[in-house]
Amino acid sequence: MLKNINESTNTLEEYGYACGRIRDLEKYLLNKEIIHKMIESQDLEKSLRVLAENNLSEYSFEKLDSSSIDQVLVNISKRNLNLISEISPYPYLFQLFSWKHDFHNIKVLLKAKMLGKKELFPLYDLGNLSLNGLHAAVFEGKYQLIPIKIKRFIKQAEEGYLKYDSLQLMEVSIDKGYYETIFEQLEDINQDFLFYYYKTEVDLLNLIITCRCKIREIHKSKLAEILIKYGQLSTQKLIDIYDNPLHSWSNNFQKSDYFMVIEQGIKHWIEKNSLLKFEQMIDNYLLNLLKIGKYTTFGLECVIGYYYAKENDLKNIRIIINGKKNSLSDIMIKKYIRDTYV
Amino acid sequence: MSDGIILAYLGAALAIGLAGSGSAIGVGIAGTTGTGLMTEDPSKFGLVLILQAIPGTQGIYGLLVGFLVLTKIGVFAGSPASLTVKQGLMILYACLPIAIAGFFSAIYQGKTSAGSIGLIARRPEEVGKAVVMPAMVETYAVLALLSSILMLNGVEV
Repeated sequence: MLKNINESTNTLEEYGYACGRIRDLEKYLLNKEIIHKMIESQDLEKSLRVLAENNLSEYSFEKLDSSSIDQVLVNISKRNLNLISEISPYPYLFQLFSWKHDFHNIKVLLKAKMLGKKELFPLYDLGNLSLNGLHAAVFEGKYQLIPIKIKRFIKQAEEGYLKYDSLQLMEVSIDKGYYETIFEQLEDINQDFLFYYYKTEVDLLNLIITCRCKIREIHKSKLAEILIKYGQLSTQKLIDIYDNPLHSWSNNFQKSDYFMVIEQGIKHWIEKNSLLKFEQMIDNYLLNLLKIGKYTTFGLECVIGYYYAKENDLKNIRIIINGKKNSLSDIMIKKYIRDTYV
Repeated sequence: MSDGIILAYLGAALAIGLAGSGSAIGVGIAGTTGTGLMTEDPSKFGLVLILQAIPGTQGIYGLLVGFLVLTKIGVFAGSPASLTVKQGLMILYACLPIAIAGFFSAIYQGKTSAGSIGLIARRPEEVGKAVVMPAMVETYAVLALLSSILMLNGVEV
């Protein structure tokens, strides 16, 4: 995290107001103690009560059915996004963060279409594009309400599905569209930290994609098509090591910042046949990178850090809720939990 | 009016103008962050006000030196002294420490105050430490003020 502090850090005084507000709001982020108390609670109701006991009144769950809980969490996510729009001196952060929800919606709609269902998971009305527009584009082929480039991504993803007959590869194709959109916008914004953050995200995503492809024994020749460009890590390096045994991959990254993620992630896969640890290590790596925001008084790092920290809290709450609903043991839930920002 | 007195006026103007500008910027920086904090928690107004006011002192120091110059050259007495260029330059140079150090220290003090506002947002009980950090920057403004006063006292009019 500290290596990301450079001469451009802490120089954007226009973020002073935003940082002042966020310093107060950071008090209401979940810490490890609260997370552990929630996990160790006997049942879902008591677990959610921990939030109220710690003055986190934002998390007010009146009903405990899945849709009500999900609605509360979506509303918090919406408020988080609106806060960014309200406090940022420029509107680009709001747009940038909103794309994630648009591409999530595209994934859900396309998956539903491919599986012949009406809707699989809830759609989140948090993006830059209207849900009706996306629905019409995916199901009816009416693209008037969405930008041309989004139309291209949808068509590419559909073609990809027909070609590989794999929903996961279709998702990767949509992710490619997502990062193309993000990096196109980043060119205009020209903020070093944002570039660095998204490039790291792409690197880590490419690493896990390569690992998944290896596990599924997808041929090396297809990997170049699947991997996402824009990262710092050369995709050729990943293609080069692809034929090596999985357990030896980490040797090629010993001097890289990603060494621990790869080593632990692959080790866990070999021992437990699960990529859970890999995903968790990726999330923790990115969160750790964002922690620079806690030490910044004048910079968008503070705003980005808070936004993702809140999203991370929502993810952890969802993990605990699902764990409690499915009567998982405390130890099992702890395995899924991500690190905390504060 | 002699050339010397014009230089002395310039010195007083720089001391007041630059140190004052620095303070305005510093107070503005701290105030922006303070406003952000008070949007979420208005009860911290008192603490924020203290931290926001700290970078304002350089402006006062500049004004003090400016007044000393104007007193020395007899402006307030109604009969400005006739100064040589050498005397005028000495007064001008005497004003520079507070003008320059006042300008920059106020800006950096404003930034430190903004950081301290972030500290009291999360730990209001640490207000003492939060005040000490920007106060450290003040040291150099005080040294500059002393230098200016001592240099000014050394000028015989």
